[in-house]
Amino acid sequence: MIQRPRRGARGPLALLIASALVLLAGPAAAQPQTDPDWPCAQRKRPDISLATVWTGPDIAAAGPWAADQDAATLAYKLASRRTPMEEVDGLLDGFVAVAGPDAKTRLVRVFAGVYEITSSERAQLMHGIERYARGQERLAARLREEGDALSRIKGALDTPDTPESLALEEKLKWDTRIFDERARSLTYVCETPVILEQRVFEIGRRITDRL
Amino acid sequence: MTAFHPPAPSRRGAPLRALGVALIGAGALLAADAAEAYTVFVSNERGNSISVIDSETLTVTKTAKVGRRPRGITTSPDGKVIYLCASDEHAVQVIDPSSLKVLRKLKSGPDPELFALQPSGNPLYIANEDDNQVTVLDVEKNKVIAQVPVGTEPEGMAVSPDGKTLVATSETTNMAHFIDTGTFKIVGNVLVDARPRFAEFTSDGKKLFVSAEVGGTVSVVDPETRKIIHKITFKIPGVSQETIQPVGVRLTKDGKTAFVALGPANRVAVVNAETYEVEQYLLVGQRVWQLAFTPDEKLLFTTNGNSNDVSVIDVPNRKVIKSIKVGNAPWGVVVSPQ
Repeated sequence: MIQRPRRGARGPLALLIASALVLLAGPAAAQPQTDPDWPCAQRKRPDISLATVWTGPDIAAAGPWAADQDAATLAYKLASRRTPMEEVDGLLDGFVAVAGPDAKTRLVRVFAGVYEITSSERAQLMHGIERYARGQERLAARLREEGDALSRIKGALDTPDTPESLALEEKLKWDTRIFDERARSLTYVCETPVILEQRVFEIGRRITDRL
Repeated sequence: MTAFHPPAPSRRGAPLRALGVALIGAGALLAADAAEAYTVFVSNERGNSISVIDSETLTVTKTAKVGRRPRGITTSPDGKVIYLCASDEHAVQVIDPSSLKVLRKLKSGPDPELFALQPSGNPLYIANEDDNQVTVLDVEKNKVIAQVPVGTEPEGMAVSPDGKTLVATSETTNMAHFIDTGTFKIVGNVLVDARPRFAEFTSDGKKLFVSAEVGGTVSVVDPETRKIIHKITFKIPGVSQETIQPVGVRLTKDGKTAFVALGPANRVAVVNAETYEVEQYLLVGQRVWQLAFTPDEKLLFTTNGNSNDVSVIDVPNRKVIKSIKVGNAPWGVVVSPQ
């Protein structure tokens, strides 16, 4: 994880430059042999493998879920994070009660829908995380340039401040702060694909219970 | 049946418990195949708690708050104390298994993640993930005996059954480091696949299994020559290769079977530890990381960090028999030795 240096820093200037360098090194060091655009500690998995969330009957054999209007409506409702998990059992039972003789096949369609909707939502999220990482990389490059420029003007700690050095120092401070804040929210950002997986897994489990 | 142990004088309620154990034992004699009752302790990384499970009823009997970000968990050989890595407290906590009170805090070095105890019960070898070192700690005196610099992000720790060799895996350097427990010097390194997370010796000490989370393999190493004998690979229909991320490994005492937790593949692989064939994949909960047998090896408990539950595997029948909800993000698991 991206962290501030714990030791070796001398004074605010050194701290700023050092932290900019450490911030740059962080994600690269944590991710050997993987996509350089991927900033998370978790290994990048481009999609949710169906077999990790579903062990029920073949979803293709159940027929196209989108053609079964009731199943599709329920799938959208279940896939939405606005639907609390506590309501899932009631919604499924309500569906089974009116689903007719092929209720089990239709339940499989509901899962197929939840899986597909969640998968596409997750794919968008994954692109978003990569965009976010590229933004951080650009900001890191700028931090490095600003740090270099400041070192050139203000080589030693006892070099007197000039309006230019003070302005640069201020800018570096702000950019570092923005970088830090974004780096901190990265942990949360990286967990969002997992939150989607948790939901689809739990819904899959509850549908399987009714088959 | 477990040998009868006289109740420890410090534990209130112990005589009653011992009576319970005796009664359960009598029941076990009647039902020949019934399992013994053990206590299972699960660390919940985000719940900042430990959950206690009764191995007979397979229910959570207690939950207790502990230090922040609890991960590695183990017990002393006599079962009298639980050791817990409270990573964000930068300490190892010593916990009373009955009252679940934190008795002491030990000097673990920064960010302890996982550890291994010398078979005699002392010292404790702790992986300091953020500091690239292994801390050797005398648990009686709470004194750091040595700090051994290793590769980047050490995590997996294992002590050979004879207690002479410590193995530490480093997640970023991709190595298993062999450390002499007499001199605390690294005596050899084996390069394994990317991000080694866990190491486990066979009970005869002749083989070492090292899992690689990103590499997706388990390397079987000859500790004598420090050469890789075999690399176990996994393939699950319908599951992408990058989803198969081996972490926890446990071997039966006879050295014949290995159980490997495959992370977000949500499965535990059952591997023939002699031919290295994967014989079965058992579906458990989400992001399965750590495993622990009951001492009689009838049950295996798995921590599923994303579905917040523990799966119970019937070992002889190779079947998942139950899922038990625990705290938030279960990480480590240990079963009391008695």
